[in-house]
Amino acid sequence: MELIIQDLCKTYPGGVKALDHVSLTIPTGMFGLLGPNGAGKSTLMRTLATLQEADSGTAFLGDLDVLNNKVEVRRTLGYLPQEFGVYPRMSAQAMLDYIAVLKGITNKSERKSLVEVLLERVNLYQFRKKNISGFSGGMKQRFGIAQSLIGNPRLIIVDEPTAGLDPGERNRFYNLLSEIGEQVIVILSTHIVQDVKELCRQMAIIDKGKVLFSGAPDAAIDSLKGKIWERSIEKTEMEDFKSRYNVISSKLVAGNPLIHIFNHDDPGNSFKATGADLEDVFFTRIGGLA
Amino acid sequence: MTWVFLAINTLLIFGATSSDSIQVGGSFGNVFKNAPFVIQNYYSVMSIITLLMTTAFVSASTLRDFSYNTHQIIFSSPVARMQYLVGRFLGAVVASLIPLLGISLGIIIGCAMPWVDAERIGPFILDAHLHGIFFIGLPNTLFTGSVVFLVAALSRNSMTSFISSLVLLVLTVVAGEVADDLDKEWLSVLMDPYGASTYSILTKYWTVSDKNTLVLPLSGLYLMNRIIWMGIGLCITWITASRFSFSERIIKSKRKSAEIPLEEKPVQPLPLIVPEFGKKSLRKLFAGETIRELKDILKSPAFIVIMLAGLLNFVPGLFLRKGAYGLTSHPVTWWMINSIQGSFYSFLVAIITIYSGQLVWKERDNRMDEIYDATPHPTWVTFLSKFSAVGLLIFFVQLMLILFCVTAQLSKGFTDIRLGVYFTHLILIDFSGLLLLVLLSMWLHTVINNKYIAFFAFVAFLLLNSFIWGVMDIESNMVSYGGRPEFTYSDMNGFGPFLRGIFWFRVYWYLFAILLGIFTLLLWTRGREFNFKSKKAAIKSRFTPALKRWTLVIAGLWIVCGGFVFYNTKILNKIETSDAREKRQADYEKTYKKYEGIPQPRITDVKYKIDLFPEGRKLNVHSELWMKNKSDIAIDSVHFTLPEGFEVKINLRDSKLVLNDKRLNYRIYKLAHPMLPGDSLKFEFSADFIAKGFENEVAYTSVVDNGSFFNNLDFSPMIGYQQGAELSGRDERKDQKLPPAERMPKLERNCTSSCMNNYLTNHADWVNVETLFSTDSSQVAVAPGSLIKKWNENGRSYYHFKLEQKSLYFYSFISARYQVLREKHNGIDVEVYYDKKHRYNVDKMARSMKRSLDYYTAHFGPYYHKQVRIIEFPRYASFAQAFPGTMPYSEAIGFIAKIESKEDIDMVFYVVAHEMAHQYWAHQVIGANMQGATVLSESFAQYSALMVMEKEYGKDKMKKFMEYEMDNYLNRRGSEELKEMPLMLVENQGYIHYRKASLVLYYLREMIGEDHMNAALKSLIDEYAYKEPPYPTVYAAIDAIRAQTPDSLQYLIKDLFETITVFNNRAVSATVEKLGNERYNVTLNYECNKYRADSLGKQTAIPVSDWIEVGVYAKPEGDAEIGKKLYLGLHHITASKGKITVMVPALPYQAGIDPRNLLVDLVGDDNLVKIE
Repeated sequence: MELIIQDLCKTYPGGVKALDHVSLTIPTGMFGLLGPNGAGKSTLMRTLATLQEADSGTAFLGDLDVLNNKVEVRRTLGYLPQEFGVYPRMSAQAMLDYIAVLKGITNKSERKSLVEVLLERVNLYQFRKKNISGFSGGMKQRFGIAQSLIGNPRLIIVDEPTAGLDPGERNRFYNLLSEIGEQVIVILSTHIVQDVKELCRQMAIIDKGKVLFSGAPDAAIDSLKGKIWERSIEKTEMEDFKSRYNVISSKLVAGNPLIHIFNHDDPGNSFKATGADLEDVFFTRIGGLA
Repeated sequence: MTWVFLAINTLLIFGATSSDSIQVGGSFGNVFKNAPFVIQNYYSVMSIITLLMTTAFVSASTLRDFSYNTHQIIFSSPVARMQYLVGRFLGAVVASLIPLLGISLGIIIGCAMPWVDAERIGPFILDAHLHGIFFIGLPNTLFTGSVVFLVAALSRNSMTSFISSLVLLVLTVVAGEVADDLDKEWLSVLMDPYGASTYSILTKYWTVSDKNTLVLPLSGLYLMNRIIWMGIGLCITWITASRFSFSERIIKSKRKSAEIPLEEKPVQPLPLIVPEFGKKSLRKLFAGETIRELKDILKSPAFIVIMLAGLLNFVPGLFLRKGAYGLTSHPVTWWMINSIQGSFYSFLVAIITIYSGQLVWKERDNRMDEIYDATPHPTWVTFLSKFSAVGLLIFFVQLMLILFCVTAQLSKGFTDIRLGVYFTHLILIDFSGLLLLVLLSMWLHTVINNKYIAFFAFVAFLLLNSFIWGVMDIESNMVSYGGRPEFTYSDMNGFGPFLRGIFWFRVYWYLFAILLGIFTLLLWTRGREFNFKSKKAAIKSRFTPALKRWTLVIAGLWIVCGGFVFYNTKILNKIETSDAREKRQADYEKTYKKYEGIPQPRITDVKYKIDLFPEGRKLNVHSELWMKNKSDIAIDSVHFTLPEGFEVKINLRDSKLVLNDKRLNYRIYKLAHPMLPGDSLKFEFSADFIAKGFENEVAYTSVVDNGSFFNNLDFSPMIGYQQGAELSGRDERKDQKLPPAERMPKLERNCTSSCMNNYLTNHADWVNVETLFSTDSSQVAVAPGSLIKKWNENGRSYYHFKLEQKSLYFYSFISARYQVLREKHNGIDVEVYYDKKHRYNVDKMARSMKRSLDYYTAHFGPYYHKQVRIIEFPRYASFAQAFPGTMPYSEAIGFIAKIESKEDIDMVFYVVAHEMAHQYWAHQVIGANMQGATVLSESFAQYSALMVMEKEYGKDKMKKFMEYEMDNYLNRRGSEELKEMPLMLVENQGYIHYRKASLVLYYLREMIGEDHMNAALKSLIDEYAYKEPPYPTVYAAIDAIRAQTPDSLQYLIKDLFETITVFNNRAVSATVEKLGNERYNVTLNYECNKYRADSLGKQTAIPVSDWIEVGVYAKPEGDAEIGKKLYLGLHHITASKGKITVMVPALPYQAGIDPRNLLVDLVGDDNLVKIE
């Protein structure tokens, strides 16, 4: 089953184009949606999660009209918003139970066993009686995943789940995500390239509401083969290099900027060829270079 | 924000200054619009009203760093901590003080408006403004601020801060309530943090003139109060600032769970559960959600605090509430319900305001909305469960209140508990109304989609809805949301004529509310789209064909029901707005005043045939009357003013109807043959009343199922122009461009033509009355006079009454299911007609009637009727009234008064004795219609009742009674609307002709003796009882009293009747000298100041030359307030300061001047001093 998005547009009252003719085909498995902050990722996610209206365009999950049949979509949806709060003085178990009720699981004993399995799954079982408000960031996100899994969703949307997590937490969260992304569609939005690289078989890069790339990460990297060059420069030279080359990124290595540039052939000037990675793809695409 | 509040306050006070229809902190009567008293009051009241504003400022500025999460940055920067916090705090205090300046601004601007009556503006007194700002505004703001500062710093939560200020408010109210008990006044003077009750207690005897000129000086208790509370405020601030923790609070380690890794475990497959969305599971979901929301509210601290505050305000009143003369009531059910409405409902409305809004925003506030909204529950479940949760909450609160009331009733040993009344009143009527508010609030929150604006809008709506329709001149419950007829429950008549209208208005508004509910559901915010345009798709999908059908059906029903209500209230009955009514009254005066005083015949004999059908609220009256030309010129036409609410037909033989003004109810009949002087003429009329359908407001509650009580003027056409029908309010008259009305015609000494009318009627003198009265056979009917015959016919009872003695043309007709107590006393039937639920004080009433008869017949003269009757009537009015031989007495006052302890003043006994005295004072001797008329009726009735009471209860008890009279008089004269008159010139002013008269006449009796006093009164009876006009004036009474007063005391006549004279007597100190042989010399140092006051209470000291009592007392025994009297004698006091030495035969303890408080004394409690 695929989620097919066609020509989705959304303009906010202020005139900001959040989605600009977005078309994507999202197959089963983990799908990464990569883009800088404010690219329109969350708008797209919320639109798919029935929380926002699109101005035009369509989205179909198999036969299901995602934009117009919200009731059905919600029955098959798992959604972890970018930010969420919880009720104060409510334990993880109680909260999951509550969301299960809202998702139509009316039988009390079924609910109980489901919640237990979920808590086991995300390894929060021993904290089930604790208030979520006291959880660490990683634990809270794991709780978020647990709640999204209730009701056997076929479409799972996770919006920026790793923001604010430390590397250890992030790794553990990846493991959890990859486990569930086998039979269902999981759309993961992030501005962290690493996330996509490690998890996703398919991805899209969007910026300013437009899809800049969609396909497999490997294909994207291949497309840049032999076109990324790097060298270390003095800080003072930065402006000069920026004006002369397509600088796509720079990071400090031992106190000096190490810059990557995009060039179809050897630029000389002490630049060395370097293997492209997904980050280069991201910056190249966003910079409008390829 | 500060400036917005400043603008609001300025506008409010500007309104109150420049118009009389806006009031802040009550009406100030005849005081200048910018009087110091008014200014200080505004500051007092407004600094409490703005409490929440101060809370907002202080809590916002304290919490700013926390709410923006900048606290780590700020508190790690090297700002001196004290400086930082105190600076913040003071800034907030100043910010919340600025809006208070709107009071001064508003007054100054308001007074400059050209339309404000120049007579109502006094000089600008800077002191008052400065006092208001610095001694009222500043300390109050500082105190509130400090408490909020403390709470906000500790809790770091703005809700808690708001609650703390709510608690402050309640404490203030409690302090005010404690003050109601006279004994504890000094305590509440200190206890009130805002000084408002302090201020009102210290100024309670201020006269109009005082209020216009004086600024309450900052001294004594007032200074103490200000110092104490400002000090407490500063202390709290200092403690908070010095203890405030800067460090990020360490979240308790137990709550914070350490990160644990996700272990590599075989993935357990999730159980495959199919979600259910069938009807049954949705119903389960709805019920579950309702209970969950309800539990959440019940557990929330804000709810608990508001409830506690409410209960604190409400429960003590159940046990302590007192009415007139410090008396309590038998805790009948309606009395308990009154307590709830008076002291708890505002809290309930607060709960509704908060939670109906809070629940709408709950998911969004907790940032749970995205998860919540994306789950597949139907939207209606969310909306309806939240609505039901708040509904259930109120329902449970109502049940709890009932439980409290019933417990209070039982604990007082009261067992006549009416659960049905509780249910109908608190659940069927009140609860159903509150539910409408919940829905409205949720609708506003959904439509406005901004929490704070919606809260504001809801409160603004509540305020506006309560008066805006009147202002717009549409006084129909069909337009004011949730409107229904006002109602009064009566133990006698139940919910009587009100329920039907209430029911239909409720149906009408519920149908509307369902539409509102559907609207709310359609617009309900789900997801992240907030404006109407982007919600369109959602609305479309929610507005299913089934819902559309239902909407149409409900809308249809609503229109049909509206039509039915309209038909009943506007077509079957009429709604007359107060504006229209005032206009009509004004037109009556403008058009027909010219006929006032023209010679008209006067009624002499009346026969009634009255048929009352209580169940259908129907009354048919047929009457034959004889009228006589008592003037000395021929009368060629008869004028009638018709009663309202009755269908009236007049049959006057040989006459022609030449004017029939149906709008103003005025008719003129031209007689074919003029009535010559001395001629009599018969005329007949019929007057019919029948209740039709239901009304917007039940207009006529005198004809009801059980407890009909109407008088002859209700249904009779009155001959001639009636001054009583004129518009009387000063402002209303001005609006209608009428000149100010005289309250009463000027007093004349030798009057003939102006004394031809008594002050009750202007078209009859003493009349003979005969009545044939039929009513339902289950009821007892009473008409004036003796019952001649009674029989039953066709399931109805017929009574034939005849008055044995000509009486005033003012008498009542009553019918209800009565129990009757009948006794015989010296050949007179003594009867009490009462409802079987109210047996409590019936014997007391009978006893009072007998004691009164004894005293009055012995001292004033014969009683001419053959019966005296007290008759209970429903509490649609709460007075007792005397008619010839018959005294209707409201169920709300004497019948349920609880007089148990020896200390209690027997109000029932007193009121009955007063009404009994009217059988002489009013019904035998009645004053001409001019100033001082009510001295002859009310004041002498008051005196007579005091004598009967004193005989029954002794002089000590009278002292306590007189304290209440003194308190009431001194207090009420300060809120006089126009002018305080000397007793002799009283213009129907209750505080003068009852309260002051009690003091004056009791004192006079002490001075000239009871025999002389009664001889004076008896001479009046002898000369004027049942005399045809001219009627006596107050001069007759004063002359009679003067004749009985010795020369040395003649000055009293001037002091007591002709002027307003007040004293300020004080026992300064007293010393004792032992003479041996159990004899002591006591020397008293006293002050005695005597003043004359003008009509505004402006006092001028005058020289003293008065006979005043000096007393010496022994040490009180046990709980007694005063010991054995060792000496009490009159001394001629001639200086404002002096010494008096008297000899006593035992060890003295206290000495004083005017120790019994017989004189009107501005400060009464310093007349006794302990002997050194």
